[in-house]
Amino acid sequence: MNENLMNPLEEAALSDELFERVGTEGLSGEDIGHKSLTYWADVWRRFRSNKMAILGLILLIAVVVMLFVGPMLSGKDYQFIDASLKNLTPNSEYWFGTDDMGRDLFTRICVGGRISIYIGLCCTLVMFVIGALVGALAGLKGGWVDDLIMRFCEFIGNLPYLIIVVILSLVMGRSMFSLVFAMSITSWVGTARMVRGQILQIKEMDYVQAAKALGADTNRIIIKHLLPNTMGIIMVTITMSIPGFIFSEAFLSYIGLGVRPPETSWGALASAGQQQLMFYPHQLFFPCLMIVITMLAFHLIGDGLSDALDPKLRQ
Amino acid sequence: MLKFIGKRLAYAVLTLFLIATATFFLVAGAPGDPIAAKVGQMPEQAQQIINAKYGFDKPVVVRYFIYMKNLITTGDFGESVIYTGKSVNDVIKENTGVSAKIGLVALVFQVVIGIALGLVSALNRGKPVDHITRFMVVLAICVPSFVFASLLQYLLAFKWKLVPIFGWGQLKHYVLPVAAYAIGGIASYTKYMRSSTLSVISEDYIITAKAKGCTKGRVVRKHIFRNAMLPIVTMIGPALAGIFAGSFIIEKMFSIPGLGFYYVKAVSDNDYTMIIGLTIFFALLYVGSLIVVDILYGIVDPRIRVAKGQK
Repeated sequence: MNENLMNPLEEAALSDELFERVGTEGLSGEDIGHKSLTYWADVWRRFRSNKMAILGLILLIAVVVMLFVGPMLSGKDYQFIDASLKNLTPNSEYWFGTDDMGRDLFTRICVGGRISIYIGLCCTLVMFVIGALVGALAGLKGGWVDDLIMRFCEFIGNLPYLIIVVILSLVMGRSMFSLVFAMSITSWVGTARMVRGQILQIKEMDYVQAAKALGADTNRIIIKHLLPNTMGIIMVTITMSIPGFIFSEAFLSYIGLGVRPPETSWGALASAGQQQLMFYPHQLFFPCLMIVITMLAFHLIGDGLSDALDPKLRQ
Repeated sequence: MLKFIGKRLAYAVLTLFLIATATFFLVAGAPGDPIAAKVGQMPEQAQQIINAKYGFDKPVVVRYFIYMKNLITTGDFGESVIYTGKSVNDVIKENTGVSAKIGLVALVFQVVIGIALGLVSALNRGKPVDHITRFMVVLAICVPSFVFASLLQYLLAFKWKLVPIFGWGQLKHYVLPVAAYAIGGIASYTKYMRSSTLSVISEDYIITAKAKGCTKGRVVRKHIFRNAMLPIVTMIGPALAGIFAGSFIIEKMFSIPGLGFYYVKAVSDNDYTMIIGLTIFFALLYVGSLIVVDILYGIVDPRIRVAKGQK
């Protein structure tokens, strides 16, 4: 290139061959280079490229695997009491040490974790099902149904959450059912409001109008259009609320309203460990570590999901 | 505006009435009998006298009407079943201030530190300061407050003996509970302030301000900070309402004689009247603060007033 500029005489060497027409036959400018992606494949692609979100997913899978495989590996029973093995610090036999009754802490954390996650999932499921149904009803029916439901939601939103949970679990006794009931009974309001808002918005979209014009009935519109389009925001809420419920359960266990012994949960283990903190800090440390890792995993996944689902970030 | 306030008040009274009624019947139907535990060893007659004193010889509905009549006409929440002579009103009078104090101090720390960190983090986007702040925020959100409180107790109070482990009354007693209480709030205020600042930074009027030749400090102070604050201010309202109910665990862990402490205690003691009374009082505080916040919003932001008025 440089030489050309320096020696203008050499330009004469450019032959006509160099200026032949190429034509468009061999080119593939019109071809679709990438196979077309569905909405969820696209979301997954963007989620996958988010390193932190993948880290969260791996952490969560690791925790869940540990909860189910852990007791088999340690070969201990979570209820087995051995007075001669009280308050051991972590060692090769008892990986996380033992508690004040000589029970293996590692096994207890695995078994308790199952209950913590189970409670988180159940509460979220109840919250989601009730919230989505009520919200959809309000959004679709409109009129006085909508008014009534929104008034009711306002009423529930005016109640202090923690107090309601405490009163209900006090009244209903300490069982898994009452725990789930107390924690999810007021929490669906947020989901209902959100779903209603989404549906009101989507209902006016052109593609819904088009579907109506083409003769689709309400059921088809709900299943084909409203549901898939509200799914995204609902999924983010779900990932964010599971750790919230695990937190609430930990709180209830802490004030003595959580799961009933001999069953245990991370919250119950942490609150037991808290009483031994001054002398055996490991009894608090390990349950808390598990809570923190699980929270972190859900938060990272939730953040990744909301980024992946955000229409502003989509290209 | 008056109509809006009136409507809001009417709703609040209705809400409170429903809460009081529901609480009364729910707790009345709760398993466990506090009186039986108390009078177990006493002679028959004494048992009857005590039952009559608390009205347990009457059916629930009659008790409910007596309770509501007392509550509405004289504001009397009744007497503790477990601690004879201690009325719920005494507990409320003596301990509400403590809860309010610790909640308010914590809230101030949350807001001030959160806003400062969020602003700094957003202005230094992509730099080490930003990364460190974001990492700390995620960590703080993932740690339950009682874990953080235990950690503080263990390190600061037990290992290094800088502050007392628990107790109440002096300034040094505030350090641990306020820190433990504030940490979660600091994290979320930082998070929201950061994203709010980032969205303000990319607005056209910031470019205009820079183009006009504003100094960096002036742009941050007058243009970015003020506008980024708006969404944060709307968050502070509900937080104010939640002050009293937010500190259950902290009060219990640090043995702070606040409302939450007594509430948790009443729950574990199965102290019938105390639970009902404190629940109603908590609801009263909560609903009351929500109204105050709503009215303040109406005054601050005329758009909200119009929207609510039309509804």
